[in-house]
Amino acid sequence: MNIKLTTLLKPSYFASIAIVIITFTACSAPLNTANNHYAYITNQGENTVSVIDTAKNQVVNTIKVGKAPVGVAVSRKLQRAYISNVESRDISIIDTHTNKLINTLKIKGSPVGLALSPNNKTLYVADWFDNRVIAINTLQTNIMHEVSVGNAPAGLIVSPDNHWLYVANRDSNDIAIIDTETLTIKRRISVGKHPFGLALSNSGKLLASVNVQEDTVSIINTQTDTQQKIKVGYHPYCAAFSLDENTLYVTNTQDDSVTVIDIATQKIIATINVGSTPEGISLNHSNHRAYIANWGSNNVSVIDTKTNQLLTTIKTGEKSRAFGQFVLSR
Amino acid sequence: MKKILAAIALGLSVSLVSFTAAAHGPSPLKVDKSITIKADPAKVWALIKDFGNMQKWNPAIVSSKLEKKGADTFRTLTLKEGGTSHDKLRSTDDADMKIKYETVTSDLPLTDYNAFIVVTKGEKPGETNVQWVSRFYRLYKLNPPIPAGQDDETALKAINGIIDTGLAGLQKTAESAK
Repeated sequence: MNIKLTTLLKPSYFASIAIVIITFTACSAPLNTANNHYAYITNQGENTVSVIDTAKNQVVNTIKVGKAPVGVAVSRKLQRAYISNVESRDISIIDTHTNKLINTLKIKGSPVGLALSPNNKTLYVADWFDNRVIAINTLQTNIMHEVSVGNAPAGLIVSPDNHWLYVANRDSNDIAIIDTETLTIKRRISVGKHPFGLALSNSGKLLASVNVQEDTVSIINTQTDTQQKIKVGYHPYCAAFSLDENTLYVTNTQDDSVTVIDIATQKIIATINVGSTPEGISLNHSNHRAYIANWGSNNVSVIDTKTNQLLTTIKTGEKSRAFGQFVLSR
Repeated sequence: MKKILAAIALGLSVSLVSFTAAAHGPSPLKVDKSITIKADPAKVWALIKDFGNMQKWNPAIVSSKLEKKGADTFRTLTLKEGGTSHDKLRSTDDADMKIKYETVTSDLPLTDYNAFIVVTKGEKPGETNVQWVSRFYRLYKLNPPIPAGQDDETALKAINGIIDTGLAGLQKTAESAK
């Protein structure tokens, strides 16, 4: 939808919006075209991002970014996708309205994990080179702050109230909890061996740490810091919670599968075969779909989270990774 | 010094605590090669699934020794280019004609190696497609400067050599065998 400001101010436009609203209310149409969802998939091997329209399950754009893109963070409010490029050591900024690259931010180090604060004010960047996290003001990207963390920071995620930044320190085997006001480490939680991906439940009460070399997931109660470990597949990488927080989905890179965990009983309720070497996973809650980027087979697997069945596979680019929250509603 | 310069460049730095023990920087590498062979899939699969006998079709391998440890199966390959590779069999799937294995220790200039080989029916009768996909990292896991012989190119060259030689050898063996 490409609408000029003058168009927005025309009374006829408001009238058409009103009609659209009435129509959708009357028919309860499942897909509102004004609120489509898009998946931004980083392709490490060809320095691009594939944009998938999740209503059609088709790639609608391929955008050239920096060298060896890995991490991704998206913001509906800012209409931006941020991409971390490990080898060119920069962040590509994409305008998600036009799906065009609009800026590149140089980073001192090797950016991997990315996360946005829910208030969209700050982009956090994990730097493996100097073991720190860089905080970038999204409205004035020249303003950067940093905090030293544990060894090889990987996955990042921010609490719904914007107060806490969780950092998976892969080589320290712990999670650093950072106060976002002061950018200081409040405490650390030991998890399993080599934590990489992090996931936070919608309320912020549950934090999942995917422990690659232990083949486990730690599910941490963020109010009590207590944790339970669950065995998953071989070399798991990333995870995502369902909207109701009852289910956790985990990618197993060397089993080519996704493990589905029932949180209440801590039991594995399904194991779904996907593409080769699955890495990043994000859920589109509006249509009950999980999107999984497959590094080995250069595609994205789509799972129906109601039935836990593989629905389709979408060809993307060489070495798809999509490390982070990559589904954007627009 | 680098830290201080970085702090100045970045404006306000909250902490100057330095962790010079470097992190893991490289991206995973992939070699993904396929070949079409004029032989029946069953015949090609029989050669590939024989985990302890890669030397029968891959000229890059001089000899192979199979070992069982409990339920696990291992092999030690002696490489033509020198050195050995000690591999663990992950799975053999007859229905999908797919074998998965990983390297435990090796003299190859790389690390964290795992691979699969999958056999599928070709377009025409009597033809077979073979795909061999490997994932690994260069030997030097820290950030640049990277010592000579431990970089991405060296790791890729070693695996490309074994796989190119192997697939050509597989074709020759499968097409000439009765």
